[in-house]
Amino acid sequence: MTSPALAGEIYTGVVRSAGASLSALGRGIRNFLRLALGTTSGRIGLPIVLAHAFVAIFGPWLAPYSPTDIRAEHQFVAPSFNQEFLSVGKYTIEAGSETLQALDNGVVSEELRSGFARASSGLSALTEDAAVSTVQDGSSWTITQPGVAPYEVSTIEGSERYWFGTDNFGRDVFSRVLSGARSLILISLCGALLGIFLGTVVGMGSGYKGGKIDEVVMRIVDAMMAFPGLLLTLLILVTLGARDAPWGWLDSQWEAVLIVVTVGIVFLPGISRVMRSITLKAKNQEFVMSARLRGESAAYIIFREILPNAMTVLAVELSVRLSYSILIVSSLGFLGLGVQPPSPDWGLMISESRGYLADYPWMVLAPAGAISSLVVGVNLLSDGIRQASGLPREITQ
Amino acid sequence: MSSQSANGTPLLQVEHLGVTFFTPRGTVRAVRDASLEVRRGEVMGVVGESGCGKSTTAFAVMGYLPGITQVDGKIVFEGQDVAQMGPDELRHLRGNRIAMVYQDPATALNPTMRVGPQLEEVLREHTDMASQQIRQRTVELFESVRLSDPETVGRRYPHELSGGMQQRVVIAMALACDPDLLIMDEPTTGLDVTTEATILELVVDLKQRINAGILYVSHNLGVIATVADRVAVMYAGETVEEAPVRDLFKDSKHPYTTGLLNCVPKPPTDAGEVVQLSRIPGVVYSANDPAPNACLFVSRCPIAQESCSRQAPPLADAGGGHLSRCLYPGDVDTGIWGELDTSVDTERARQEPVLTATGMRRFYGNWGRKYFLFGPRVRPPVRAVTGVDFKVGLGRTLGIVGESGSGKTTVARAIVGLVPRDQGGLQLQDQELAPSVESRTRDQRAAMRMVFQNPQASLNPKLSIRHAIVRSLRKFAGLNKRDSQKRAGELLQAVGLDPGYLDRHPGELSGGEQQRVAIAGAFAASPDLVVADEAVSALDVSVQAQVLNLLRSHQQDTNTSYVFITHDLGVVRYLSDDILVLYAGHVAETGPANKVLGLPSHPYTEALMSAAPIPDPDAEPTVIRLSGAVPTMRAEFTGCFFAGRCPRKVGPVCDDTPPPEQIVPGGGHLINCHIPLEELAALQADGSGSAVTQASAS
Amino acid sequence: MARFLAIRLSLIVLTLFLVSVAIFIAGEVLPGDACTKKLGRFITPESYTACMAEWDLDRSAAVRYLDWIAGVDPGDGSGGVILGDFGYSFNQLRPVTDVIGHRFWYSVTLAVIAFFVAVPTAVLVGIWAGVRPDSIGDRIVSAVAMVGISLPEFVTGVLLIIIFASTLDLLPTLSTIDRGESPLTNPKILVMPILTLTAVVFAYIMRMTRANVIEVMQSAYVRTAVLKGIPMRRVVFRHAVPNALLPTISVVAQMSGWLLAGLIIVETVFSYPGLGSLLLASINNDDQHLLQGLVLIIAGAYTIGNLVADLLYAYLDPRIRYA
Repeated sequence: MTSPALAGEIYTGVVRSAGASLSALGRGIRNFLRLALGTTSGRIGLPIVLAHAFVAIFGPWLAPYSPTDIRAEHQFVAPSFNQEFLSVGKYTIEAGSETLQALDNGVVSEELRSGFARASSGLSALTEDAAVSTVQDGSSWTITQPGVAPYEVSTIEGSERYWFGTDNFGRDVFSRVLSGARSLILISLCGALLGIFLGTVVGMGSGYKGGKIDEVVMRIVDAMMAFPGLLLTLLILVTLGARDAPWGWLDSQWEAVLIVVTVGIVFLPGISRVMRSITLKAKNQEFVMSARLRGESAAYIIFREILPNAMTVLAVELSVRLSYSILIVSSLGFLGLGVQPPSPDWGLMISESRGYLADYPWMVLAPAGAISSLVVGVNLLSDGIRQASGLPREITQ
Repeated sequence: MSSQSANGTPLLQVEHLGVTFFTPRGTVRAVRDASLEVRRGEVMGVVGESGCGKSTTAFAVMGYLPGITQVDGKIVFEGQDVAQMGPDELRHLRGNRIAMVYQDPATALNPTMRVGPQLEEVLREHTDMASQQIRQRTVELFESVRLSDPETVGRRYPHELSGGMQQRVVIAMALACDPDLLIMDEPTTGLDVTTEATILELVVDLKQRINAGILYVSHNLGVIATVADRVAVMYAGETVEEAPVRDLFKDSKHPYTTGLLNCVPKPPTDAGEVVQLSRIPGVVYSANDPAPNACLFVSRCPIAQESCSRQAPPLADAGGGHLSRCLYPGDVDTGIWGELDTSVDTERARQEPVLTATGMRRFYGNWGRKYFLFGPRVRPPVRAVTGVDFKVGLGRTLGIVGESGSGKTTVARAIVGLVPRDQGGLQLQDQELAPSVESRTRDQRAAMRMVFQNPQASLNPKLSIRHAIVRSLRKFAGLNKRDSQKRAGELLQAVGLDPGYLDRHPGELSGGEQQRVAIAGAFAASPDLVVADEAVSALDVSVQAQVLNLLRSHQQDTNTSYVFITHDLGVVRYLSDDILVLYAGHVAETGPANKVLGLPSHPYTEALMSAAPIPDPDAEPTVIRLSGAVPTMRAEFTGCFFAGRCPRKVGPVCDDTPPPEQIVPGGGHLINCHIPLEELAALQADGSGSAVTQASAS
Repeated sequence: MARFLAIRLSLIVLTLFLVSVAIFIAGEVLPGDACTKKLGRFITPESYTACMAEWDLDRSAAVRYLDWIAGVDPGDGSGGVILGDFGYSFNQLRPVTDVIGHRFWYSVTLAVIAFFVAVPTAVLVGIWAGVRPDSIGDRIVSAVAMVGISLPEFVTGVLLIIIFASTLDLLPTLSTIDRGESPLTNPKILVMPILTLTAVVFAYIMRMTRANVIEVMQSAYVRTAVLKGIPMRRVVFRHAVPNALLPTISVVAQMSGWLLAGLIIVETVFSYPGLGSLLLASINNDDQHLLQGLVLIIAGAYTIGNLVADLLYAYLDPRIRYA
């Protein structure tokens, strides 16, 4: 073959296969949408999942504040769409209507007092006999208190939008929730995908080969399944986590990689059992026998003949595993074994806020709502896909 | 059938029944316009191909149509409309006055409940009998359906019973309260032909014994001819013809019925002529489409006239109580489907065989040990095929017959190497073949192709038709991409499909089309031998005819040899030059087709032939019956492999000594039996089978 | 039956053996050894050697494994795991069995009560919803179960605290127990941990039961039962439910594992002194023997749960042969 012809052949080959993979991708997306939107649960779940995906991608840019900047003067601000603040010397207090009224009337209300107490921790709190004195040109006041130098209270300093309130370090909870989505979703998704990959290779290979190999692999899988999921996760994480990143450039992501690998290994036994049983069933099906009679290789039969028939199961399995993996990863965060602070983590946010449950519940409710809505969305979507694809309602494992 | 009951008001009148299911995937008009009557003491047969609304009609009579359903028309049982009944009225009716027997007895019985209590609860619900009486009645019922050991069978679980016994339990359950109407929905489909025969015999016996009407639904014309008094033919949700059984089979007044009858393979004439099967073009009118104002059969009908497309014909009397939904019933006769070729099967010259098997053996599994991996060996392997010899001649067809469990599928798979044989030789022409397909050469694989039973499963549902065919071409014919595409189109045309089908997926094709694609794939590389394992068993009779014709004409054109495996003697007779009868992994009889099917025969062959239902109401009733099923062959037989069920067992010799191989004079006909050939021929010729009692083996 | 039991038991022993080897190897491959960590800044070659000798760390891994499992070295007076002796805790300088001691019973109390609250209600509700699929009642129950399987235990626990402790002030926020006291003396502290554990288990088993009942109700033998003309109640309870519950049994066995793993989180949320929080502590403190002991106990409990399920299954399903 002359070389221009060869080049032409290669060119058309590349164009064709690119076109083919694009159209395959398009077909995949169409199929997925058909399954996802085929049922009510899917129609509710998909938008929730998409919203979370959107936040995971754009969250850090959407966040109104830095998720990690500490503002001691804005500690424990309750959720509000527009919170005004007053400056008290170098401290700032929330400007509720009562605060302003108290200043106008020259009365120091309980609320004002407690506001000062929080805003100026370290300074002595206002006492009963503190008083607001002269109104100076309507833009600042002076608070006097016996034995203490008068505070000057300046005009309204500005307004902040702490939609979900602030935490014990004065960090904006909303921004933290937005920024926390990415690592959780990315790590969970990668973990689930890795688990699917490992489980598929091990399960299909072992099932197709059969015999002694299959026997041994399945014994190991059984032993792994003798551990409850979270326990297995902890053990693998502890074992893996004791070593350092093999390459320097991986250092910053090493914890995330460890969690992904752990989740992947934890999912291996369950997924490989499902894939193995699919393979065993397919092995006795006539189209696989046809392929054997054509003299196809084992790899060809597994990947070209059997795998396409397992795609629906894999889609359901992926969505189910994704919800498990979100639960596992956020639980690790809660136990302090996840991605380390200051990068926000929903599980860790809840864990750190436990001491403030009684007085500042928003610190817990925001990340709790975020995790819950994400998992509910994923579960609804997986229920929807399963119903639409006519698979049994529950898959054991 | 007594005359007074035949004249009285019908027990059941179904009038213009329509059943529409509203499913998430669309509206399904399962039944469009079904009308039929059942009288006391009479069997009303309902026949038609799959998807024609037979079973739905049966369940509608029970008032059982789950899901969102609309029922039109009337179902009048003893003056009351079942369709209008409330839940309590229905409950009183079901199991009590109307009872049903189902298609698959294995799933129709509760797997975790002993069969006795499953029957007793019917009596407890509908009668006032005391426990003692109920138990007694249960035993009587088991006895009346000829279950061996009626006293103890009730303590068994369904999975401990064979398919035939399970169906007898279901029948006993249906008879428990002496119902007025018995509905039998394909009660023998899925059972072995020998079991089917015993169940049919029971049904015929019941008809005489109980004073009930029976509605018998089946797709099998032979079964209907055996049991029915009158027959309704259903097509696309309509009853298209209703007539007494003899009128229907001898003088049909609807073109669909004559077409169906012509699709059933008939034995060759005495002169050795084989009657070609007729071909009904097209497919059944889809249940998803609303009825047009036309005959639903018009597009497939050879005598359609212009008026047939303008007017929906009513079910009208075509003379003598013979109802037909055809505008021109007078034009209908068997000739309308074209002159059927009768080709004389010339005895092909005996040449070197294409395939020779000697002592082929296959055992499944290893010795099971008492404690999982340890302990003494307690479970021997299953002896699926034990030393089988056969030859397949060039351009000839070897038919392999036997019940399920006889080892015929194992033989087929061992030939192509899907299941490696563990002993014995196998030669393709002059080459010895390796046991497993993976170790055979490309040319050897190309020379031997296989067509499977289930067309849905033999094509990968996720890959296009193109893939199925092109892949074979590229593997075997060594064609490049472009040539193989072109050739694939030609192959599809050769099996009567449009090349446009190449880009479709198997799910978009009907069962018959799928099987033709599978055949096109098998013939892609011009093989020397095609192994067809029950290739037409899953198909409706008209589709089966198309595929059989295709295989036959292909063989005549290309001189390909076939190994054709089936449980259906009619099909074997139609297609085979040679026959191998297998039982429990042993050869019972082998030889040229006309010799094996003639006299003398091995008792097992005789029983198989006797069991096969013939689509002719005037056919002589046969008498040889086998009970039980093929045993699981874990131990070696000490005597004859068939001794346990043989109706002609001669004595202890059958249990002690393996049968001798007897050669019938006149070419390649072997019978493995203790009974001398002359004696066998004499026994079978004078039909002394009436003296043969059932061998009990259960 | 005896044979079946013997086979299953030997499989359990095999599994636990694999688990013990795996957990031992996992401890071995950890970089750095216990003595380096324990001695910290004050390490000297002499104290290091002494420490290694004291804890037998200077011997080969195989010997130590055998000693740990079977107590082959009579000198240290340890009986080995097979005699119920799990060795000595590095951190607490007490025998592991002592450390685990009462905490084991605390955890068992929690798990057992949660199990017996969650499983029967879940099965009953699952049957109720399964016989009327897509009705309004079924939709409500299914939606609740959907939320139940979606909320992580720590979210459920925290929400319960906000509702019952902070807002309604009905229950104590923390479920601490004084040393040596029985958790049953103050049942109030058990309510929220049990509710948290129950939420997941209930949701999971209820969904499973419901799905099985729906499937079985569509089976041919239930159709047969309906067409026998027997009342619907009998169809459901005599024909559908026994068959639908069979697959639920193995899920219930799996739930025993979920319960044990759930304890880790729940005990942390409520500061409950059980095995879960101990396990977490042993991980954080790198307390090898304690961790190994805990893992073996949990794996053992889980496999025994599965054995019970298998036996129950074999007893209830006549199709299963004891082989």
